[in-house]
Parts: sequence; C-alpha cells; structure tokens
Amino acid sequence: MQTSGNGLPFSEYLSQNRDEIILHTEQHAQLSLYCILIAMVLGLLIAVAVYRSPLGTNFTISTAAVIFTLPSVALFGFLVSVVGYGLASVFPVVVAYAMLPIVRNSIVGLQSADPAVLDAARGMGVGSFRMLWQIRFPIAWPVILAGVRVAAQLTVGIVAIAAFVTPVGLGDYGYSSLDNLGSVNTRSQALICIIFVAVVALAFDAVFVVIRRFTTPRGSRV
Amino acid sequence: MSETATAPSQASGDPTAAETAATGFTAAKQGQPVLSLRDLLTPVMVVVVGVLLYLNVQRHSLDRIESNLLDGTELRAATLQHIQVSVTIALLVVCVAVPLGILVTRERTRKLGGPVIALANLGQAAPSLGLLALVGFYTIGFWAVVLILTAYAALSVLRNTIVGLQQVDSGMLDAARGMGMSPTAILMRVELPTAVPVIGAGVRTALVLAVGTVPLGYALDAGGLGLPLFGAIKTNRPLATFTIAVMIALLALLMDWLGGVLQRAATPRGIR
Amino acid sequence: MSESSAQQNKPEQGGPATRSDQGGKAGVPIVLTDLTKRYPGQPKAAVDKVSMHIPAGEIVVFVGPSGCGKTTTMRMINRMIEPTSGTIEIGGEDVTKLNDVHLRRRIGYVIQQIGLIPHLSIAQNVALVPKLLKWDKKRVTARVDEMLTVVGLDPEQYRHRYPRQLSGGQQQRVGVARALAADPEIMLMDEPFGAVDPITRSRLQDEFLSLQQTLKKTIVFVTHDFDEALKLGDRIAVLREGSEIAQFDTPEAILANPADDFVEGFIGEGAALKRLNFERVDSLALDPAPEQSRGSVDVSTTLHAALDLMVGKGLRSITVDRDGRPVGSISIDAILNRVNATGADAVEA
Repeated sequence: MQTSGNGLPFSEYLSQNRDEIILHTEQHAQLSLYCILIAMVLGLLIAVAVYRSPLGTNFTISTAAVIFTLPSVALFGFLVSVVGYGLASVFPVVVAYAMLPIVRNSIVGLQSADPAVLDAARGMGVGSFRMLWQIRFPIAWPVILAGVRVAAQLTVGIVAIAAFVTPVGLGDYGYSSLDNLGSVNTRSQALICIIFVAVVALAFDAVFVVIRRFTTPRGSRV
Repeated sequence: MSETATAPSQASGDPTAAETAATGFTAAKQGQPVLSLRDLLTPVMVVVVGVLLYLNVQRHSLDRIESNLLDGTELRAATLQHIQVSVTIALLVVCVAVPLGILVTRERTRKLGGPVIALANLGQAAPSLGLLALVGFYTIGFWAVVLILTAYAALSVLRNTIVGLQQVDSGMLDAARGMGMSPTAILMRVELPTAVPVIGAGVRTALVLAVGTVPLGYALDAGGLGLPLFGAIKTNRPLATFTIAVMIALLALLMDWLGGVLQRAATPRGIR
Repeated sequence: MSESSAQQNKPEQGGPATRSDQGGKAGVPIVLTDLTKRYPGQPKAAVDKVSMHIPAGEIVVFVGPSGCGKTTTMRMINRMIEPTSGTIEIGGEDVTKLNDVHLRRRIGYVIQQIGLIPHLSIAQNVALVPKLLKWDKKRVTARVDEMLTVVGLDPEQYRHRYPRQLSGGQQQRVGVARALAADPEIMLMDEPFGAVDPITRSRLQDEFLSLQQTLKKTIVFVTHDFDEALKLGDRIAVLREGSEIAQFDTPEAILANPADDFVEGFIGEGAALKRLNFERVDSLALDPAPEQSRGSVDVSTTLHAALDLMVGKGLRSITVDRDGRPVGSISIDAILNRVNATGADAVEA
C-alpha cells in the first residue's frame, strides 16, 4: 500500500525531529509520573481507611473494578463531552485506572499481617497508629510496591491513548499516524510511538526494581 | 511473604474478597449455579442506561453532522462489527495463548516459563495505539486489526495461563503421577481444570481489552464504534461524543459480564 | 514449700515491688474480684465472676478444657479483652481504669505463636517495649544483650539475625526475652511452649523454672497440659466452663485431694505416682544401709525416681547416698506408707 519512497527513512526522521521527540517523551514521562504519584497517595489513603472492614473493602474494590472495565477511550470521550479538552479530562481518568491495582494490593497487603504478630505487638502495648505505621505497613510494602509497579505500566499505556484529548505525550505521534494513514512519515511516527512509549514504560519498571531493592526491610528479604 | 504479581484484573461487579481480586481470578462461590438472580444486574443495568441514552438523544435537536454520527442504523451496524471484532480477537487469543502457555510449562520446558513471562511483560509495554498505527501503514481491514490486537492481548493471557498452570498444587500433581496417570491425562484432568479460573480471567481480560482497543483502530476500516466516536470528537460534537462513549462503555460491561458467565460455566463444579 | 488449703490464701498486703535476687523488679500480687466477661448474644458468660488472689512472685497456672475461658481470663488482666464487670488489681492498683496501651507496656506478654515481628532484627524485637518507654539508647542496648544472655542466646550471634532465620525453640526464647526486656512485675504466658517439640519444650520449661528462681516475677501461665501445670506451677487453678474455679491450690494438694470428679478427670491416671514427684528421698526416715548395695540414689532424688529405679531393677529397697557415701536405705513399703499417710490430709512440705 505504501512505498517506502515516501518520506524519510526512520533514522533520519528521528534525528531531524529529535527535539520534538524528546519533548513529547518528557511530557509523557512527567504526566505519567504525576498521575502515579496522585494515584499512590489517594490509593493508600483509601486502602488505610477501608482495610479493616470487609464491607468497605468489597465495595471499594468492586467499584474500582467496574471503572477498570470501562475502556479508556470511552472514559476520555465521556469526560471530554462534559468537561472539554485539556488535562482536566486526562488526569481523572488516568488516576482512576492507576488506582485499582494500588488500592487492591494495598488492602491485601495491610490485611496480610500475621495475626500472631499483631496480637503480640498489641499485648506489648503498641498503640494503633504505631501498629499501622511500623508493623502493618512494612509488612505490606512489597505487595503495595508490586501494585504501584503494575499501575505504572498501565499509566504509561493510557497516557498514550490520552493524546487525542490534548496533544501531550507520545500518543500524539500515534494519532498523527492514524489520521494521515499512508502519508509521508506515518510509519516513522508509528514506530516512534511504539518504541518510545515502551522505553518510558521499561524505564519506570527499572526504577521500581531499584526502589524495591532499597526499600524492602532486610528481614523480609532474608 | 511473596509479592502478588498482579495482571490487571478486569473483574467487575463480582463479589470477590480482596484477595481473590488480587490474584486476578474470580471463582464463583462453591457449588453455586452458573447464573443467579444478582447476575442479571449487569445486563439489566446496561439495557436501562441504553434506553436512557436513546431518550436523551431524542430530546435534543440534532444538526446534520450529529444526525449522521448518531444514525440508528449506522450505530447498530457499528456495534455489531465491534462485537464481531472483539469476539474474534478473544477466540484467537485463547487458541494461541493457552496452548502456548501449556507448552511452556511442561516438565521439559519448565525453565522457559520465566523468560517467556518476562518477554510478555516486555511486549505489553508497547502501546496498542502505536501498534495499530504501524500495522495501518502496511495494511488495513478486519484482519489487520484482529491480528495485531490478538498479538497484543495474547501476551496478557499468556502470562495468566503460565502463572495459573504453575500454581497448580504440586501435592496434587504428585498424587496424580503416583497413581499412574499419564502426563496427558494429568494435563487434561488435573492441571487444566484447576487452572481454568485463571485462564478464564485472562480471556475475560482479553475480551474487555479488545473492546477497549478496537476503537483506536478507527482508521483501519474494520468497523466498530471507533470511527463514529472519533468523528464526533474531531467535529467537536459533545452530545454525540458522550453517547457513543457511553455505548462503548456499556459494550465493555456487557462483554465482561458475558465473559464472567462463560468463565463460571467452564469452571468445574468442585472448584466452583 | 507453700501453705496448703483447699481454698485461696489469705490476701497479702499490696505494696511496692521488692527486688529480686537479680536486682530486677520482683512480682506484685494480682487480685481478681468478680471478674466477668459476657459476650453479646451468648447466654452463658465466658468468664463468670471469677475471684482469685495470685500471690506475688509465684507462678499460677490456669488449666482447663478448651473453651473454659482460661485464656480469656488471662487476657483480661492486660485488657486485651475488656472485662464486662469486676476488678483487677495489680500490686494494689485497679487497672481497669488505666490507659490500656500504657498498662500493657508494664506487663510481659508471651503467646504460643510467639509473634516476633518479621522485618525487625532480634535485637529490635527485644528492644521494642524499652523503646516505647523511651529508655535511652545505651540502656536499651545493654538490656537487649542481657536478656538474650539470660534466655541462653549469645547476643553476638543473634542480635543481628532475623526471626525467620531462627528455629522454633530459639524464637520462643526471644519471645521470653522480649517479654522480660522492660522488667515488668508480672507476666502473662499463654501456652508459650506449645509450638515446639516435646524435647525442646522440656528444656525450655526447665530453663524457665531456674530463671524464675532468680527473677521471682508474678506469672500467670495458661496451659491445657496438666503435667506442665504440675511441673511449673507454684499454684494451679483448675478451671471449669465460665472459668469457674474447681480447685485452686498447690500441685501436691490437688493431687492428694482432688476437689471433685471434674478435677480428678483432669488429673487423669497416675495421680498417686505423680505425687511422688514432689517429695524427695530425704523426707522419709531412712532405714539402715544394707551390707551390700545393689543400687543407690542420692538424697535429693524424688520418691518417684527412686521408685522407678527400684521397679526397674527388681529391688524392694535401695541405698541412699549423701555426697556419694551411703547413709541409709529406703524401701518400696516405706514409700507406700508415705503415700497412704499423706493421702487423707494435706501434704506437708
């Protein structure tokens, strides 16, 4: 359908548009980072509020799961029709998605402390705040971190899709390519979208491996 | 304690304990029938919202573009196409990912499990958007979309299958071998039935994933609700955007529900 | 040995804790008055108006069938379970009014599953309560090492390890060290040696007894194993449903005079033989030493061990040595007479 005679070879396209590509990549990474951080804070707060009650737990997770089932395009479209274009339509959706793995894992992690450990600690006079912060939380941390890691992967992918709402991030290349299917440089644009999003995703993942290594209490690693 | 390596679970509406949700599989409670009254909640809700959508559109006066976008016949056709593509993808995914997952978890190939999962994770880092754009450069149409999205979704189901099969209780396997069951028999009668819930969850994920990513292929002429949706977006018609977006969401919920029903039907009674 | 009676002792005066031999705080008495726990929706109280005086510096063992409420009663003392009514006085102080979290920092607490915190090192585990009490660093470190040594673990080796690197017996010792770390006056122990194998358990029990010799804490010890109660308890409370006291007395007294069928059933078989564990050979008047010795025991041997030896060797009497030199002999008949003589009345120390 297309001859490779159209447009520049990939490597040249890369070097010619280097600055622009880097800008989009930075945007993509930044946006993803903010969303993950917000999702972490909100997710942990909700998990802490809810983990002690079976009802609260079920409700929270079920609700989050329903939201998770809804396709991101649909949620973006919905928000755009109500709120308009721009980041205000992007953040709520991305954060909502990222929150599911985080909330779910946080709840499971917080609930997973060995009852004997909790009983002994309570019997020794450990108060409830300390119990949460110094005992339940360190025990839950590896699971929580795994959840954040999954959330990060999700986020990077969804931020790509969000580019149709506002031309931010690497998804922009993807949509450009789709909208001008077959024209010059669309192949390069598609490749850029794929490769650089993957790079950002893997970079985030690598960071998590490092974080895990450095923050897992030695007792749990041993 | 070991981490919960979670693949995104597309579970919706099922009353699961946090823990089962975290392992990404949903099993109906012991001995329950496949369909119970509360299961009808989702389809009923979908119908109700659908009707509300329709009524909402009716009470607005539409301009020419909107009428085109929201044309009843067109939308019906688009929805059907959307379902077609999604179901095809899901079926293909099962046919590819499950056998592959089995292959990789046998006695002899045990060591491949880890690297394959790692590879699958790697592959999932690539955005479906970009993949569709790339494929579109070379070819378009129903099969273009189906094949690329199958490849994409298969990665997640592959991972679930491998994990599910690896989790089969080694004590059970030991007993089965000790009784003289052949490897094939063990696979068919012990491993697969036990792994079905996990595989089922993966298939459900694939289905919902498909419904969600097919719209991104709007430029590839495979049908579906993507084209009307993006048409509405590019022409800046909020009502149409809203309506079609909600339609896609409802479709996803419906497919998920269907997937859940099928999954429970496929789960052997003892585990159910 | 302690006084005996079929009922509780007369109350002792409460007062400031005395120092034990090791300079740590020795125990204070615990007084339960009409202690009750009723759970909503249940017709019978889990613990029904229990009154008991636990003398200072003694180990009182609660034994009873599963579900009788012994653990519930124990856990009310440190307010892990809030009493429905009744009072608990520790060293004369009514603890039902105190802040529960702070109260627990003054009470040693050891449970069956041990419950060491997995992500903290052994030293950090043992240091937990002292740190809560805001001891200064030096004092804490010294105390941790001291406690580890006291329970038989070399601080150099164990300080930096983590719970999952230790065996069950070692973990249990750390649990005890942790409970003793803040030098509490009383300790609550719920089947603390239950999770280890019988050989380790026996050793832990022996070491625990010798530890208590020097520490003299007041200890409430819960077990379902009557033999453990006999071995460890200065006093035993045999509890029925609702934590009702069937008998509260010294081990010897209970063995000699079980209060009713329930207690007898608990003692099980071999009561008479078990009683022989509580007396030594030198509590009997010795017969003259024989010309030819066909076996001997030391004066400090229990009657039980002596009888066992005689039966094993087919002897009717055996020589008794003191410091390796024969000073007399005892016979099976003498032992029998002793049992009969003390069966009817209270056993004398």
